[in-house]
Amino acid sequence: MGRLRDAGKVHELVKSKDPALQRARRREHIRLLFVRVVVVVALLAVWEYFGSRASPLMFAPISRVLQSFGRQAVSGELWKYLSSTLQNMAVGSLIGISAGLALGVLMARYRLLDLALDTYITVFFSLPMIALAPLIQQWLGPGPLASVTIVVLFTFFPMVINTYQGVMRVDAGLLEVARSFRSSEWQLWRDVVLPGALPFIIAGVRFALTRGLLATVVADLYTSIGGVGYLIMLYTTRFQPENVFVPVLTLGIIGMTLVALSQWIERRMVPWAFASKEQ
Amino acid sequence: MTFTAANARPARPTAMAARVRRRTALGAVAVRAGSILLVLVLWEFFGRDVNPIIFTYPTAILSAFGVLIGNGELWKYLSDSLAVLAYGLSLGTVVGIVLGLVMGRSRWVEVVLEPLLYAFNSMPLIALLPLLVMWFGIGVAGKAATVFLFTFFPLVVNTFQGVKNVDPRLLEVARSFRTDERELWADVILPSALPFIVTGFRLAISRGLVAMVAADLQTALTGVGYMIVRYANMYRMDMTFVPVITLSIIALVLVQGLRVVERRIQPWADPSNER
Repeated sequence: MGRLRDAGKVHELVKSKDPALQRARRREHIRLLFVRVVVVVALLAVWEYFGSRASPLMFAPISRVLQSFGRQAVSGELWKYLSSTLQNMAVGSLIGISAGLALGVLMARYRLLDLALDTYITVFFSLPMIALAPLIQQWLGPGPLASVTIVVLFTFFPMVINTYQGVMRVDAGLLEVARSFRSSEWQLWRDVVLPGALPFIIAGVRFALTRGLLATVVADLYTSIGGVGYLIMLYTTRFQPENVFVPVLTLGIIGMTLVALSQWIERRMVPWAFASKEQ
Repeated sequence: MTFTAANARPARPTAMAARVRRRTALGAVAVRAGSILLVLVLWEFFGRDVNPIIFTYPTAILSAFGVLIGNGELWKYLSDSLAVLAYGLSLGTVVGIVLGLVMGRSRWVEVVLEPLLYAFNSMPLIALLPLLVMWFGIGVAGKAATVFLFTFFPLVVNTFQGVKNVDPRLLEVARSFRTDERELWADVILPSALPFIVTGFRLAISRGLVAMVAADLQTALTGVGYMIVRYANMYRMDMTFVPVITLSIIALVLVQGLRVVERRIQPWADPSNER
């Protein structure tokens, strides 16, 4: 019971209605935001300063990168390559995540399956998956099929492991109570197991999406020579760094958006997993 | 009554219970071994029927292992890659830990570096690889720079979190007993940050291996990554699997080994800390 009461207190503190406390917190937020903006502006200024002094074949100032960004965006070049990258990533991640979720649940449910497969899951999870990229290319040829397969390989294994761990760590006391109240197997999964495993599953999705983006770029660079990876390679070999930075920055923005989005979803869906971290 | 079903074991294990437990452990080993054996046998059986330029089978890979170890080729390429990994990883580890400690300790450094760290940590760093090779060349420097970039961020982030996670009550007690800064670090901060740093190191190793192979693929001159591409392009599937399997073994030993270390120094660790 003690733990429960403490959790309630934490909740009260976070949601405190005390106006003085709220004001102080808002002031702190604004100050931090201000400092962050100053830092980012300063970094861009440093980039501009060194960029305009470096050899234009090797590096470019941010102002020229932004010009190239505008040009590639307006001419439709960026979108043309980006759309194929995003499509491969979306399809591959969707397959990898849903298959991983399913296998993770099955392995947690059936001990025989767990024992039969856990060796392979551990091996494939540890091995640098990128080493398989040349093989995949040889088997499937360059093209979207090879790219999607690589993304599936990168996203599937973390998802299996996270789902499995989430299900295995469901509070045994809850399971026992549900069983004593004669929950059916289906009710048990819907009301106890899946909500209990949710924090792990969502963390797995975040992890899988980050790896999925990496996998797409790997496929773009080394198997299919398409998508934004192709843009990066093309402009690198032409020694036009201002053009190389456009797809690189775009990928950075996509990566940050994905992480921020999945953290937001995490907060919305499993707020209890954050109760202690917010303090 | 505080015990839950998870630890509801009989208070006095009887001889029969011990026998049952031993039997289930034995059964687990049997299932695992059986599963591996079954896959190998099926692979051998069906692999022989597939055209060898597309797929191969275990005994062919074994003899390819013999050839490539015998003529020293595997070791030649592997040692190149491992040297790159060692340079990049050691530099990334030292710089990462130092920066993480400084960030955890100084509010200013934290505020300045956090946005950068966040940005780099969520972008696919591999997109920078062509640029890195252009800047640092296709030799050891370019590859080591890649490994450095991949290993540096998990170490900074984890070390920083470790320092931030030190129990404030411990700090307060240490301060009330007039601990000086050096003792504070040696007795409180570093011991409680250590498990985080080891986790960071494990993440860094698995990312460093990815970076190592990626750099080989990018430069296509030396290293195990190049070996994979070359034999794949020559349609020698048996030879292609040799570096792939070697890499898997190295990764497995390093990553699982560090997991054991982690469990030793922090048995209460939360495996959800996966990234």
